Amino acid sequence: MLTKTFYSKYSWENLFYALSLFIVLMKWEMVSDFSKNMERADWVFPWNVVSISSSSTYLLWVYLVFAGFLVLSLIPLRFAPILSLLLWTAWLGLENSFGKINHVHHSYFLISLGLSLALVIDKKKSMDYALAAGFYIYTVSGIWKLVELFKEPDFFSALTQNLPHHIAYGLAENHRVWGEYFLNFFSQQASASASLWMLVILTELFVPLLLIFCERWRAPLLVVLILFHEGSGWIVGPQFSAQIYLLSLLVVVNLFKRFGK
Amino acid sequence: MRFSANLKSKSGPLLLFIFLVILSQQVLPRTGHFNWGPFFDWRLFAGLYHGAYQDLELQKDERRFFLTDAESISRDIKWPLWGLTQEYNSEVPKTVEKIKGLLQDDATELVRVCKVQVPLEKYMLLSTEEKKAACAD
Repeated sequence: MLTKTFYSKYSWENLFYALSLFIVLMKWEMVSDFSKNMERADWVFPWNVVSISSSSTYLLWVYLVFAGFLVLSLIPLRFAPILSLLLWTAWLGLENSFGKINHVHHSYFLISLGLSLALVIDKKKSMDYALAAGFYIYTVSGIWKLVELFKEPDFFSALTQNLPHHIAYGLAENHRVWGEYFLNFFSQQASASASLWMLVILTELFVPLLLIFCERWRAPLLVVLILFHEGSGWIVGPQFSAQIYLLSLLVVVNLFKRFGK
Repeated sequence: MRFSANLKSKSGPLLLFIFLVILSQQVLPRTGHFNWGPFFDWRLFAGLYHGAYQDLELQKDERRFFLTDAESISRDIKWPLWGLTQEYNSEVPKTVEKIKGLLQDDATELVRVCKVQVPLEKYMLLSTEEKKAACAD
């Protein structure tokens, strides 16, 4: 009974907004970054008629974004996707406003974009549009990795010679305990590294398309993307926690289809 | 038959997907990794309201200069990361000096820079200070 009430009141979009609120709250420490970059903040508040300090301006924006996501996560509204799109735009603007280019949260913005389009085109297909808009970014990344690969004059030998070292270095740097093991494994088995790299490219190229077409396989495909991010985090260093939370939510939603109905 | 039916029902999301892929290939800077940064810089939006186009132009110049230099540095350190180095370089610093400074300061980047100079087996045994000293040459 309780489950039924929950399902009837909250769609997966509401869960997405709740996660958005959580993600924005998690980045609260960014406010201290704002305070270090205050001198560049005079343009943040376009209708700054009354002269207020830059830090107050930033805080005001941050509170507005928080409040917006809180409202969205609690109340189902027809215009919710559009408000979400605006709030994510504001948040990314704040986040990147001092020269940083951070694409960790762009999938949230893009899913909001997909939901907004679904609102106009076909609300029943909100998940399809959200996945199409939210994850095309992977395909683009895969295309450019492929292009860069073929631009190498001797790309197969470059791949087998350099990539094992890159992977070994990355893993050794990020996980010193297992450094030697990784070093030996990848240095001695160049084909394993090359295969891994090709697997990464193939995953990026095709998983988003499969997400649109293969509804039955969505949950496992999303798990593949989670593993992809975990692996990237291990090798390259940066953690993609916000993206993994989003993917995890979509896994749960797709496992229990009733959320989407 | 089943595939065509599926294609028809998914045509909207698929078109959106293709449109976004083409848009991103045409419009966004080719840094090797997809990069929405310029579109989400708040100054872009603020600039639209304020008419602060001069600032935006300056920003564009910085970015162009900066990417070109990041590419040359990537070539210099001979590290074919297929985009990753360029992405890293394009994310953090604003000027050539800053990039170079960063490469000197950042331990992870040092490993990459030192790839040719120091064998990893020896490198792993060094302390952080020794690594920095080894890579300073």
